[in-house]
Amino acid sequence: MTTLHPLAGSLPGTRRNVDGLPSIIGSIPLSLLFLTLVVTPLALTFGLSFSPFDYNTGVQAGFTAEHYLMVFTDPYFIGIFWRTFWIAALTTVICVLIGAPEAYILSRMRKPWRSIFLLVVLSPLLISLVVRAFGWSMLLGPNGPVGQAAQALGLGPLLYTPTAIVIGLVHVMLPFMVIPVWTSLQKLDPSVEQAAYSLNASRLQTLLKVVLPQCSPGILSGSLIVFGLSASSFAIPALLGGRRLKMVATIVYDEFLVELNWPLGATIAILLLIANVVIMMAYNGVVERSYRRSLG
Amino acid sequence: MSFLQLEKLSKHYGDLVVVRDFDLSVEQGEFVSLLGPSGCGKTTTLQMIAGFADVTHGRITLDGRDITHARPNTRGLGIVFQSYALFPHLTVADNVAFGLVMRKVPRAEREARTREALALVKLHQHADRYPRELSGGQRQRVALARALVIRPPVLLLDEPLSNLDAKLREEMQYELRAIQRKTGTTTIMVTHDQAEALSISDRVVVMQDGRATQIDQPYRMYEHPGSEFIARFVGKTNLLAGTVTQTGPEAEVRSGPLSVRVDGAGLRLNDPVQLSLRPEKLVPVAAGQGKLAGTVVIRYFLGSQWMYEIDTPVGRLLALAPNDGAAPLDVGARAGLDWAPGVVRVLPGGADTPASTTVTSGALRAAA
Repeated sequence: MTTLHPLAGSLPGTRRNVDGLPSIIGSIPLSLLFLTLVVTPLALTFGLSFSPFDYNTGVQAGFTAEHYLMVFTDPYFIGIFWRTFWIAALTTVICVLIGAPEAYILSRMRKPWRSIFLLVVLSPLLISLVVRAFGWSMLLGPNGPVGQAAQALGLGPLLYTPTAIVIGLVHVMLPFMVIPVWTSLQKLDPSVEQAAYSLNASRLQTLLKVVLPQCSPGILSGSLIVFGLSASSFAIPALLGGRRLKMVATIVYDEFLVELNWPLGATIAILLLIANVVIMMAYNGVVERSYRRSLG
Repeated sequence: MSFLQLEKLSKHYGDLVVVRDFDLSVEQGEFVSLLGPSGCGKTTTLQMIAGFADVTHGRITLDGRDITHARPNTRGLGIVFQSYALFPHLTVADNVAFGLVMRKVPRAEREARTREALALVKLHQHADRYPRELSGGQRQRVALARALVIRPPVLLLDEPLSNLDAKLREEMQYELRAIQRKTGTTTIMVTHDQAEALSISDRVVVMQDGRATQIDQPYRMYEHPGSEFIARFVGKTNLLAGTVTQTGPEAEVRSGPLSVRVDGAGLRLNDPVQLSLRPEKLVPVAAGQGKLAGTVVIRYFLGSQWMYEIDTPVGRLLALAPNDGAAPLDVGARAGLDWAPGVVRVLPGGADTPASTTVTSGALRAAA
């Protein structure tokens, strides 16, 4: 979305003016990287999504919009898109509810504990996603402690349900919520809370009316990251959703590697990208409008 | 009983004693400054009054009510923080109205009082701006309006002017006093700037190592400092080591070749003492006249005044002379120094320190 190469010339504080030839030469490596690694595969995928496909002969030359038509009309695919976005949205909401208080508590901790607990919060990032997903499937499975507890409480099986996917995603995504919120809390002037107390605000009022609005930019950017990553996540839905409970990324995988219908897989991938970009940009627009003036 | 009373107030952090046995009585409507170098406990004292720091021993009474351990949000005090601590996500008007919203003041009254408070600090034009769109001086005014709008019994100011540039600081200082006079709010200000404390306070408390060492009106504090530390910290002064050579209602103190007559109360024969001569009390006169002879070593032009460093038989002295339009003394010129009778102060003890010219932070800033 953002172009990286003009940065070299427009960096504030750059002494020498590097407009013209030097800036063009300087931006060549990054532009090449961007073109080969991002633009080219995207363009190829986009082109592929319009290619005709036959189950006997494979990808054909030509142009057709039938894959798009199919995805838009087939309730099976619409259902998968719908499931993907509500799971991503629910994951985001839960991450906000857990991550924001977690970041606040973290920022209030004293010297040695803060770094220790920050490491604990970030530790999921150090473990392979697949290992974590298997860990959850053992916990949530019919023989795992959480799965058995859920069964005993009459909640039915957990593994291979949307609940399992949401639990797994929340665990994976939490650091991506905690870090931006924590960063915006770092910028908070500690005497602002004292000022609120001195004006008769209770603890809760101070949290809701003074602290929360100021870490909203962090919460909102954390939400963007969590939503984007959740909507396109693959490993967690594949391992905790099982063979039947599909999300968009897993259906793309199926189309490419099981059905071998590459054009349909490409179509779904492109649609996921577009939907993600549209949702995130709309969200970001709202955020920008409400916070640009007050919080910069 | 006074309006705000601090009795034997102490604050310990483990073994570290930050404030010890601090006693202060503040009358209603009074403007009291806590003055001291950094680390003297003045901010901690203010934090204890505000309720942000726990009191280890002692008692705080406000208008007959014991608030020693009351929660900060039940004390109802107005506080202006050093960083202003404005709410960045609220407009100026919403910042000021915050305390009224929390007190559930009805909307119409809330708006009227907010407008009134903003008018008081001359910010009614900027009610819809956000704090980050204001200058430092304007933010300071918002902070003041926000603290005053709740009509607090006591206003606490924590180094309120330290983040402003010199010119603005001076203006704000007088404005602060004018606003305080208008509202009649009992005010306690913490500051490290002696000029600020002297110019706008009714009384000044000098703090040193967690103790209040002298509590006095600014003029008395300046003219009769209780110790060498206060003499050096409040204003600037020339200190001369001397010995009492004659006692009585009017004693005589000798310092090197110089002999001066001072107020004799409490002085004993042969006591080692310090003499304090304020630079502005030393009048440069023609060579051969006056009480001391000397040579000008350095001179600084301060605009309204000339500051001379003059070498004399008792050491190097600092003298301030008004810029009356006449030609100043040149460097290297010989001059005499004179002073009116009764302006030399005696400070107890300290014969071990040699005669010295003390240039405090205030002097350095004035010279810069």
